[in-house]
Amino acid sequence: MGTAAGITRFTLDNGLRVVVAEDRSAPVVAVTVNYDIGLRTEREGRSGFAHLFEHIMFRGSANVPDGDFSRLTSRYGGGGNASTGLDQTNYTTVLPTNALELGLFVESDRMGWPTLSEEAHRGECEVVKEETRLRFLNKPKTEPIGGWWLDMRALAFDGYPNAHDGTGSFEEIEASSAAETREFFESYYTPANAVLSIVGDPGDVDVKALVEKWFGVIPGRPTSPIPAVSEPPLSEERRKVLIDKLTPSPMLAVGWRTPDPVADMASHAAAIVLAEVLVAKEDGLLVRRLVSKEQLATSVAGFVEFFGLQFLARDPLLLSVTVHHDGSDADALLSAIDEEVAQFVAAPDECAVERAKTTVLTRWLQNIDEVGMRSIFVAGFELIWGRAELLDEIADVYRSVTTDDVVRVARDYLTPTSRAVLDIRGSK
Amino acid sequence: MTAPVRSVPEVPPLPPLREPDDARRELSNGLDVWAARRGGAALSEVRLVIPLGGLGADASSDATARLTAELLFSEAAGPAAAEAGSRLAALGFSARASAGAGTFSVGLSGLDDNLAEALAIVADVLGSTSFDADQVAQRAGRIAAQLELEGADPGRIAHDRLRRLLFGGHAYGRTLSDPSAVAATESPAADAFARTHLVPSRSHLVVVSPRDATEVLSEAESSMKVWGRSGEATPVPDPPDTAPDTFGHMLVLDRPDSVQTAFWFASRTSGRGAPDHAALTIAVLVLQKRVYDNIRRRNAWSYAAGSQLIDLPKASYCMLGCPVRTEVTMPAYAELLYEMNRMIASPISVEELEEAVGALQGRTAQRLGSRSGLAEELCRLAEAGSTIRVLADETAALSSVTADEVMETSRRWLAPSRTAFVAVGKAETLQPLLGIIGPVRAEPV
Repeated sequence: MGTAAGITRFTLDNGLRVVVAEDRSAPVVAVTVNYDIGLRTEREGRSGFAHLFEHIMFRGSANVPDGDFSRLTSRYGGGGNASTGLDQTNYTTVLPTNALELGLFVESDRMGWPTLSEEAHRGECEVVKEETRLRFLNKPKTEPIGGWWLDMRALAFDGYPNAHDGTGSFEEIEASSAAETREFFESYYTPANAVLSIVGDPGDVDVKALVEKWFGVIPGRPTSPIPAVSEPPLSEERRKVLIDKLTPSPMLAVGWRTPDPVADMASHAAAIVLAEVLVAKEDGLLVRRLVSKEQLATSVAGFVEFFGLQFLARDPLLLSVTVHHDGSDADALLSAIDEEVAQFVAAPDECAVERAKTTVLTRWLQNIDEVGMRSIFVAGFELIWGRAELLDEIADVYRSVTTDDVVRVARDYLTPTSRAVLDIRGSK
Repeated sequence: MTAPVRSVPEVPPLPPLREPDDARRELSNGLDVWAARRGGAALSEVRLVIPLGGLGADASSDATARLTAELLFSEAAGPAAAEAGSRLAALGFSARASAGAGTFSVGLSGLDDNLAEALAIVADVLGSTSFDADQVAQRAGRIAAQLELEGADPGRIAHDRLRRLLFGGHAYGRTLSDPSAVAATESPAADAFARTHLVPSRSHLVVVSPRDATEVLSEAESSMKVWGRSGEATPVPDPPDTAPDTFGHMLVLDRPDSVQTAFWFASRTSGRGAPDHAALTIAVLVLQKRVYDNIRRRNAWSYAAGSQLIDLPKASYCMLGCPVRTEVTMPAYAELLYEMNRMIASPISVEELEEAVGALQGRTAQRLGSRSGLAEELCRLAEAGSTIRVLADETAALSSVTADEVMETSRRWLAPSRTAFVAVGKAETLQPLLGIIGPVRAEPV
């Protein structure tokens, strides 16, 4: 199955790597820039800065007035967004094919000469605080992508890059300055620290010439070293009880470290399959045990970070399982989880593994069906692995996962002594 | 280095809308099947929509429809359903049923090679559900717990209440199911619901696949013809007009631990297909941009400020609002009123008009660019009794709208005097503040 037939790549003199993945099945094209900088790169005392910076990058550049990034592209039906992940920040615009050059102009102006004004910095400090309130503080922590995830990372890791709150403490966001945004830009937002991807139908234009025209004039400069983020796994269980006034019913969240995706992609894929084996809607081992059989839980979910972008983050990552329940004892839930994992290791259900493989494979193909998301993966794969072709190869990576691989990951990683446990209770 | 001066590149005209190849036929069991081709990856997207007539207006019938949807692909729904989930997963498909706004829907997506088999499984489940009393009793409580979590989200709370204000006792007047009604639903009710309402006649099936549409239509026919329940699905009735006493009042839903106020204005508008709908879509988009510029960019009061036009098969409505920190609720409210009044006081600029027309025309092309986007769009058209030609007509209609027409339609549908208002937040703080502006009623969430 092919989605990215005909990947081509070239590198500009300033160091910007460019990947073009044509797909002419619909007259739309995505322009994405992924920068090799994320939440884990922000320095101590400046939590939330990478995300704040992403916001400020929408506030104008030398030839695009404040407010015009979206206006320019949306008037042709384009839509853009950005997101800051653990290790990467992406800026994506999806446009009708006829507006490709406009997308290249906007993204190149942002890369080369962002305004980074004092006014934009102040304003976006307030906006990101509102975003944090909207996404996390004004909702139950126990929502699927809720505040529990931030608490889990703080509990499961020790090193600042992994453990700190990437949404940012309000005090640290307010304490940051416009001068720091300039410094951050100069250090990390360099052409050589980014990949530009163009995915979809580019029309009948010379893409390389257009890229040269708009991005080639951006001067190259050195990139500051990215801080190391690795740290050893936990040697004993960590547990924390949290009270959340907005949570209607309690939830237990369990996080385990997973194999290094860069050093061992096959085991990383096996961890993703394992998560599905555990939490598949009707047939997951934990669903059957905790929900159907013993009725200790009302629902079970789980995933390997980073949300839908599992292959776009480096080590260390977590496999998390969340268990919504109605007041069950945490130890009883954990014992049942341990027993199910042990039983799977001793006598794995091959059919369940095959079903899980098919499910994650299908989910993957669906994930990259839309050109915007596909362009993020193309740029991200090139950034981390130097292989945008992984877009097509990941399907085979999933197909190649064996039951033994899944068992090995379950046995070696999902151990009681290496987990972090959040016991979240409501105020009632 | 000094930044170079560069001009915005010229954008060539948008090519005419490329309609997908499609084929459509009503099967012998009355099911309307619409297949469309979308190239690229070997994936298919399927949407099945079953109109439920007036069902879902009251808590009990809504709960029955919701519970049936949640359990449709589980062992609680009988022997065929028990195996359905794992059989579909083995074929590389995932299925999800949902109920709301007067319809029962099934979404199915997966590997196109196995489409026929996956459709046959769904048809088998739809035609043979038989709910197990013990299973339903066990699972109803769990689903209710999930609904409680869903109902704790302030944005959803606000939307649900606005829908009730706009559509009253109609099926459109509810977006959140009542957890206690779901917990109390028993298997005979779910059986009766499935028997009476999960019928093919006058239901719509949309299939988007990379293969030839005629071939896919034949395949879908072979798979779905086994779904033979008798009876006819009933279209959703027209909702009554909004009660005038809804207008001009501010309703505060008290959520004492809130750290933000989620507040929204909403008004009923003309529907898709109405003569002024093109002007209305432009008006709502311009209003959205103005609100974003004002509330987010200039004042930095909110992350998610804007407006949205929501088209249901039998009615449309506009929502306008934002979540803001509690302290700025009043100025944000005043600014939104100002922006609504601007829309009705004077015509939008020529530039705003051109930008909005270009954006809406381009978005249609973009929506059809993904498999799921195309499936959703065809589904909406099927429910409305329309054909794919409507998309080109709508796109063309945008070009002839004038700024005066945008002002006229804004006066007709978006005037503050005909909006309902709901704020979810700390009533203790909000009531005295908003009370300065007008009458406020506070209720618990």
